[in-house]
Amino acid sequence: MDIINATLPALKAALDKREISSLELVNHCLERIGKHDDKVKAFLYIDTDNARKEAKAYDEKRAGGHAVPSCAGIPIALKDLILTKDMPTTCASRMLENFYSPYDASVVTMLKNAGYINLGKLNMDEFAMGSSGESSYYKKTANPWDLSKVPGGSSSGSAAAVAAGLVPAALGSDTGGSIRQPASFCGICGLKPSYGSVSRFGAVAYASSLDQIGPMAKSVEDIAFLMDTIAQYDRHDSTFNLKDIPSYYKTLTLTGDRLEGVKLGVVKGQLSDGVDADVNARVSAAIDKFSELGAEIVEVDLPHARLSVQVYQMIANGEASSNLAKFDGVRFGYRADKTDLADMYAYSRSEGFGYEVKKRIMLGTYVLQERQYQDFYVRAMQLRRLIRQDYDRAFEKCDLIVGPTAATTAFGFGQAAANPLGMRLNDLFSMSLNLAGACGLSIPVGFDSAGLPVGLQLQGNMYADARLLSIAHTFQKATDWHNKIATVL
Amino acid sequence: MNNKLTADDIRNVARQSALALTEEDAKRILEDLGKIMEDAAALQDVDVAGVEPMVSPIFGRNTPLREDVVEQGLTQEEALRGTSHKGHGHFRVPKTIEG
Repeated sequence: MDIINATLPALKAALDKREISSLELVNHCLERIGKHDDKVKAFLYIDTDNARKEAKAYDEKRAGGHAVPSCAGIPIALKDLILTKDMPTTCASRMLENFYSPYDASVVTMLKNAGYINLGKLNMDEFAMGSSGESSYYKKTANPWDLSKVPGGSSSGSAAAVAAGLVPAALGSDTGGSIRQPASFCGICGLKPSYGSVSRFGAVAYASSLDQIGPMAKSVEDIAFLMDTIAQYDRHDSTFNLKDIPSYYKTLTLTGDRLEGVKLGVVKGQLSDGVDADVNARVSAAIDKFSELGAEIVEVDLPHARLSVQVYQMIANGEASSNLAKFDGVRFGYRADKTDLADMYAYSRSEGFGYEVKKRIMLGTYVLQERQYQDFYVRAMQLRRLIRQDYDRAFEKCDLIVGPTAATTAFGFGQAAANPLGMRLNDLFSMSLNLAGACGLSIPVGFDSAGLPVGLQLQGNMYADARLLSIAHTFQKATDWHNKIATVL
Repeated sequence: MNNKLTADDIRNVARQSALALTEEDAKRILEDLGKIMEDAAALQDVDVAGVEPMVSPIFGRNTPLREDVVEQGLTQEEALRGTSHKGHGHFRVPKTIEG
């Protein structure tokens, strides 16, 4: 079996028919990790023994004719901010070096119940703060398409591991683009589900009103398949707000092979200055392909979204300063050796957190001060509503909004500062979606002249995830960009 | 509105954030935050009079509340699992009371 190119449903079918064993599958991944991860540096922790043990147990059950969970024996890996009882969770920070959570995140329980085998934990920007993967305390993950380039972030390890074929699928998290942008840079698919459609219980919080866990995989088919496992009601997360949970995988066929009747919105002026010419060309070609498949292209306007970066800075960091207050050296995490309590708190935090995290805590604390609160924090929340209203109006005219996931393709390590406009546009394209609570997907739609992947972002209304995936699936049935494999390894 | 950051602001915010910044970090943060706040001045350009602040995407929708049933939380041992600074079933911290 061609494991690297197999979809998750194909792996499940092969396991069910016993054409392949789970141990073979796990060993295949472990061998690839052993061979390539010293270059890609996607994993922070790998549990080889337990993965093999679980795989053998499922193989024996299947051989004995016993019932197994629906996805028994399929390997997966997790961004290292998703709490696991049996593996460390570091958030790629010195603060949580060797930290073991006393409980599993709800999505981990859901994956376990479905029979997935968790191979390990994946690198990320420290506490999910960053968009290149470079703020990890431990190591810098490389882009499997060009090892001298960043994989994007903050779900850097998740994107790189899937793109390098180290694991068939992974979970990431997205607060301001952290699933979609690395998916775009690494040539894979990544879904930021609608806010409240996947439990966040046990995901270490950055900005609670924006954070969302989501799947990252090679195809939309895989994304939908994984959503059926992780998008379940969770009594531990009161923001889980879906009354009728769709079968994402079954509804993939909603739009069939053609897209007549589907309206795709293009944001006025989005394909303009600051967007790489190659990105523009590939995204325009993808939109033409949608049009060829029968979709109608209409122009929409998100006038307040131009302020998304500023609004995000106030809201995300305000929330972060509060969420990260729990790291004080007392109950868990790094503790500085000080004899005074206040010093112990301050030095534990200063030595445990990296620069980017400290900067964002400081910014959040500052905007929540009485002097700034009304003019910046409250005003940002008011603008957030105007952005949401822009989306409401846009979705009256179209089913999905399409455009570039990022203005650039993957850039070199340490190069973000060299292209401030490009970086700003990268943020601008992704952050408004989190502010609105809507769903968004990045899919690969070709390559730039250097051979680096270009991503198309499809944004859907809140809780329109199933329709979003169905339309994207129709596109992938007619194209093969998602079947390209990173060849540098 | 005054969003011009000073070194005093940084010292004050660091104290509120329980951070002991090095001089180098304090300087860098002053510069970085200064740029971000300068950029954030654009928030004042939009008329937001009468707009209800949006706290969360689901605010105002019905959020399902679970039944209030007593269940087993973390055991003392599990709660103490994350630290080596413990004793007699408690978290140990530096002495806080004089005398």
